[in-house]
Amino acid sequence: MTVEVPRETGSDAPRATWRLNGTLRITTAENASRG
Amino acid sequence: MTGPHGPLNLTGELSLEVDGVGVQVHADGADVRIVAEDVGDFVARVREAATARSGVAPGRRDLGGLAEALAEAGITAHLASPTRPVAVAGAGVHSPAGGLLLGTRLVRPRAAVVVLAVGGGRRLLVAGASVLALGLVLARRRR
Repeated sequence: MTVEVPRETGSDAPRATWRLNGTLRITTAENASRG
Repeated sequence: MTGPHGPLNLTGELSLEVDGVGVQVHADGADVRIVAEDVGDFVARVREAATARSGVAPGRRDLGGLAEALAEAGITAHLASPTRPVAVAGAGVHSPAGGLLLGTRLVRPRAAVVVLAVGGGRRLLVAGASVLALGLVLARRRR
């Protein structure tokens, strides 16, 4: 996934390109222990 | 110390490339490790994003709030370069050095950062931990 992230405030702000690859799973510890 | 929904559990591997700078995120239970090829550059990019969002650059108060949020979620976050640790924040951290240099004992600066903190190294910690804050915010919204 590629996301363009503003570097400054304003609608015409230059943007940084963030590329993400992989998985990050966030659950409550309770749910994790249930499998 | 945990939040209203108890401790969180994080698992997975995430690769990021921020304007060509590689970052690896490894999460296993209550521990999250962020390793950036160039920690300073990565942190600068994250700070830019945070500043663009709020209009105000993150500071000591934000770092303290973030560290508290991590601790409440039972998460310990480790920020490192490929060759050395930079900082540890969140659950189980009680650092007098962090309290002195960064305004929160919930962040333990490692040796390299102690020197940098005097001249603006606080930015490293604020931005590095912001990635984790984003994950925690998303997790809370999904519940």
